[in-house]
Amino acid sequence: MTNEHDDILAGLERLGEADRDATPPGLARTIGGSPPAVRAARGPLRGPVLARIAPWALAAAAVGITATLLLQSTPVPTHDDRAAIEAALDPGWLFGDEFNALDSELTLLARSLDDDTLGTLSLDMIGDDL
Amino acid sequence: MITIATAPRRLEEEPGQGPEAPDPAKAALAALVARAGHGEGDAWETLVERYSRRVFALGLSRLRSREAAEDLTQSVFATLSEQLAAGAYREEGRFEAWLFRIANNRVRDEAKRAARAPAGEVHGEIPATTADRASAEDLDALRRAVARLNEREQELLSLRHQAELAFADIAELTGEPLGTLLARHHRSLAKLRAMLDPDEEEHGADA
Repeated sequence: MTNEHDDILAGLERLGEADRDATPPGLARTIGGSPPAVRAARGPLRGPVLARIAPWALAAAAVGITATLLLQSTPVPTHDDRAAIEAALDPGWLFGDEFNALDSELTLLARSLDDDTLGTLSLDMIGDDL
Repeated sequence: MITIATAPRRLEEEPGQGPEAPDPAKAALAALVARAGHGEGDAWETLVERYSRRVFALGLSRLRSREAAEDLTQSVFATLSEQLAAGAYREEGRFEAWLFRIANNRVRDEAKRAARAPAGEVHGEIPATTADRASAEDLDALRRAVARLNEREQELLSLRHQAELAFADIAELTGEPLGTLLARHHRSLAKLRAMLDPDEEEHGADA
């Protein structure tokens, strides 16, 4: 079987290969010294972790934690997987416009396929207007 | 209708190993990462050899500058080295998603910085491809078309085709549902088709 975009996919694969081939030959050697050697290039770790955190960073973290706690106390809409799966089981869902249901169905479908298959999967069934 | 064509090849797969036998490869990778984290130079070199080309290609495709891609690659591996040495890697079995999350975040930062830079300051020459001249022209046209896609589409294509990541890994590192990514991938291909073959697209619309 063929995919309508086989040639585009092949072109993208070749672009990727060309970009990987453009890697400077010495780059891996430059990086490939031992991990401590690479770490030394960015400066050694100094002192206990807490000692390296500036007071303003600690204050910012405290503000962030407070804000997060406030946000978590506010009810927000959540993705209802159970409803999406139930919707997916209904043949009529295919003609609906509930994006979340469609998205969940696609995810469930994708999880049942291996990645090589996913690589060239044509989703003509859903059209191009998602 | 779902159609399936020739599967793309992934570099890290050993001959004879398909998706039905992923565990030995994952176990070997986990052991390699652990050895690198303990400072074993040969393990570190193997990791660099295995992943530096993919990180570089990811940077090159998004930043469109060899120097920027080279700097980015070194920066990502410096971070990787620090994290491994500090024992910060705890996502067993998810090394690629972890590594490329670091790389992708760095690419996003650099891309934003480049977007703020004066025109012409950042983008350099795209390297010549290894293909023949006619094919190189086709690839250049495709590269220009990819550059016209939106940021999220470009990001997905580069993670898939330059970094050679599995869709599941891309979903994990971007935090987006797999279905969303597949739909976006398909939509990107359709957009590229329309850009490269506008006449054919019109015929298709007429039919």
